[in-house]
Amino acid sequence: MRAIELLVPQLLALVGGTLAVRFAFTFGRRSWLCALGYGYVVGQIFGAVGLYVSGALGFGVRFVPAAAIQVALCVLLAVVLRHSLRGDRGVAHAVPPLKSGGVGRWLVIVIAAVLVLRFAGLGLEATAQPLYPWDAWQQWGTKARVWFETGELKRFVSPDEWLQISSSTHDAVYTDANPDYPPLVPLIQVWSLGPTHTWDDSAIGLTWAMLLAALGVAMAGQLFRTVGYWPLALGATYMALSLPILDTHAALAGYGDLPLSVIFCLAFMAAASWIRFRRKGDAAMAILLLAFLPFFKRPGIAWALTFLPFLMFAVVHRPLRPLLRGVLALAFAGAAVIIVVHMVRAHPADLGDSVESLTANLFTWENWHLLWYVAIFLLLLHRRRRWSNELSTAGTTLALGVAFLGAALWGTGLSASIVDATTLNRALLPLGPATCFFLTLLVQRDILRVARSTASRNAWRKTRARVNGTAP
Amino acid sequence: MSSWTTGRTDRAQLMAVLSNSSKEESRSRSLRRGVAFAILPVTVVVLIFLVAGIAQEMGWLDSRMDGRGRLGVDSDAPVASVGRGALGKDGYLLEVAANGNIAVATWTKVPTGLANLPLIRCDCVPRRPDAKLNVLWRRADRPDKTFSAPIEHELGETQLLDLSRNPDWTGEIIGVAVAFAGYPGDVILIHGVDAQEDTVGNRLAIEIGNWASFRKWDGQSINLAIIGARDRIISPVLLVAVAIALGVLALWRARPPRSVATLAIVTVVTIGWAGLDARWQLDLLAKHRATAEEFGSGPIEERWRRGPDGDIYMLAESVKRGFRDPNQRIFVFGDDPYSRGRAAYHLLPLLVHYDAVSGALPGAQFIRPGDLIFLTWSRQARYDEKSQRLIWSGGASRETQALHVKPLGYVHGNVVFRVIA
Repeated sequence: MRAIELLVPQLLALVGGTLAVRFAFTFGRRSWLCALGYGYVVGQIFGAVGLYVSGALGFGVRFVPAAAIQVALCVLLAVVLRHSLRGDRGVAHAVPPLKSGGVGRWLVIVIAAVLVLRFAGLGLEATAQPLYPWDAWQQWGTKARVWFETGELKRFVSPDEWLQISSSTHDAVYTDANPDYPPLVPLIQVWSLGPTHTWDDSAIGLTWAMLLAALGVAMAGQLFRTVGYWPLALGATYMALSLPILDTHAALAGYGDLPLSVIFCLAFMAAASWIRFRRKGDAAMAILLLAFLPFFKRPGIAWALTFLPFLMFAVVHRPLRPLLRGVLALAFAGAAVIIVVHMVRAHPADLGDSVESLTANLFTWENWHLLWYVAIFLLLLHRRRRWSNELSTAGTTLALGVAFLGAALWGTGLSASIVDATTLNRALLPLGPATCFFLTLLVQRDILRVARSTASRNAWRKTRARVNGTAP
Repeated sequence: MSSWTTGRTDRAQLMAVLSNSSKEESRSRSLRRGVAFAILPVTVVVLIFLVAGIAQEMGWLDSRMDGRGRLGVDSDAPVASVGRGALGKDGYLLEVAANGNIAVATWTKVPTGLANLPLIRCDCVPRRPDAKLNVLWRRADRPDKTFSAPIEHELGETQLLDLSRNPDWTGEIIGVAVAFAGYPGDVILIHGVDAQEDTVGNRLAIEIGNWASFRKWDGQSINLAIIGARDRIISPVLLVAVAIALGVLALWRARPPRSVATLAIVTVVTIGWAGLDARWQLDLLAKHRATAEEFGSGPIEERWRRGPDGDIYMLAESVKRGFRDPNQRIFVFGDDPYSRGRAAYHLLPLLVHYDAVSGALPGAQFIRPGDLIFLTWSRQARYDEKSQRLIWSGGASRETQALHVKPLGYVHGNVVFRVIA
């Protein structure tokens, strides 16, 4: 019975969200993947919003009223998307698919099996133990637990404020390690417990594993739309989902970084697809998800601002690349100034140690497998080719993310946390899967050329066999 | 008619395709040659990882080591010369006495020629991350003097201690001890002490063992995903990257077109990536086995009880059973961020006050009669049993504060008091 109660919020998020965002994608079997991936995430967000609205309206932080609000929001989104995206019907939504036969087909089967096994393993581990990582029970789980157990959106304040308020009034206030953090992640945790009445912080892990799975499904769908070749789409999805630091955040659930990264990557893929196909549905998905980024973590505001190149693409009607170069130069110059000023004034000695730590984190330890080696190498390999608008805009967005991280990590008091390796990889997490998607767009032309030549060679062999009368 | 038309179309198709076939074949040959050159080094490295993992799992590495000694744990040794010790099924549990700050477990009988085995690993698990750990020894030529060397440890894992350049690790060693300093009640679990000869073979075996040792979730920051031991000399990721670079250099000599180069690089990277990922998956499997063993599959209360903070949970739960008023205030006092954070978490949704970050304690003027105080490991606060007063340094000025309190419960160094006045 309890297992069913815990599955209810997951199913509601998946079904409600999928049906709501279905209208943003075309109808057809292939686009179901995108709808499922994006739908689950949107369904989870709407569930959390439902809890917040229910609590704020005085119905309490309770599952039933929140579920009613979630369903209403899903219906509203479906209606809005259906009416506003009619113009998308005549627009191409995907490239023509390239059939994957022989080795390609086996590759697809093996990768899909590996991904399914991976999700199963991560799901088991994520739900096997109570909230384990530090911040999960220091600043996210604290709020979720209080709101779940009291059924009210209780206020969190600093320890000193707690003393003042608690001594002078009878207001029930709480304190934790980060009382000012936004409410969306704790509310997603509360939503994950559905209609149950016992605080069970191991069950919350299921949502984190499902978010990773949703990212995988959405990425496979978006990549197949863009490249039209299953081995490449699934291979790149495997690459993104096998990043150890990302998987660790799913196995040890409870931090806000995984949800933030999933939302960022989903928005990034939707925005890139919008440039490619110019379908309003993709733009709508990107805008919807970006609007919620700041409610996951405060840096979400800066991550949303990195989408400036996509906005420029939408409003600027002249050659884009010089403008993008200008924005990038400005961002890196600004970041450099902030870093230099901070380092000179505050901690010049930290610079050497933090560079050493950066190298170890990105290139020596297992955090990212080989991602950053591959990224640097492929960028060097493809530096001279003429990049499409899609590549230029997406690449500039990621580069702005790098500039933002540089300024935030080396230009503020966070520089010490790079040295002791407690922040760097978490801060980089949103860029990880998005970089995998971008690198796939970068190499797709070459891979598809080889795949097509293999396909044409196979076709030639078949034709020759038919002419010779040896065809089966 | 129909078959004649079909045959003509096929021939036309064949001619069209044949015109491109020589170019295609040439590209194909180039592709095969390039990929073959590139694949070899990374495949070798990945195979080494796989064989190393199997060797570690099967215990082959241990049996291959030359010159090895172990100070084991049994009913004869070690003996707690300072503090308290007890032999359990998991090992020897050494505890700092209630009025002390150090504990020592001693082996008075050691293998002969121990000084020839300078690579020492204390197979020990300290409970607290800031416990100071040392290995002590005595020599026959200077029996009145005790020599010592610090053992580094992180996240409950001790690092290899290399005494090959320590001038005191020489002669006839007649006794060895493991000493640790910490809070009263601190414990360390000792499985034994391993000593090995300093040979290239042993160093290599240790390094391979470091790559292939899988471990449970041990409190390592979620910002890091390190597989195997932290103190390895060569990083497996770096090794795979170097192998890929060698392959790519070999490929470059063939000067393939960019599409072929890209495909070859993708293939090579995929092999390296899959090899590294297999390690990650095996590590996750090992972690899951350890998690399932530690927490079981019972209800959440059972899992909390079996967790590393089970003592804190049980005391907090008894407090919540006794005080159901939602406005009950409770203050958590403790030096250790983990202990005070876990205590605060388990006490929710009571109105808990604690400073998660700095651990600063409030002034006594903010605490009322009827409030509760949960005291976990602390040097800032102490309970004076005679006067029944809790005394601590707190408030903005860090002055000495005191309150009349009544103890309500105690579990392994964690105490709950009710404030009387």
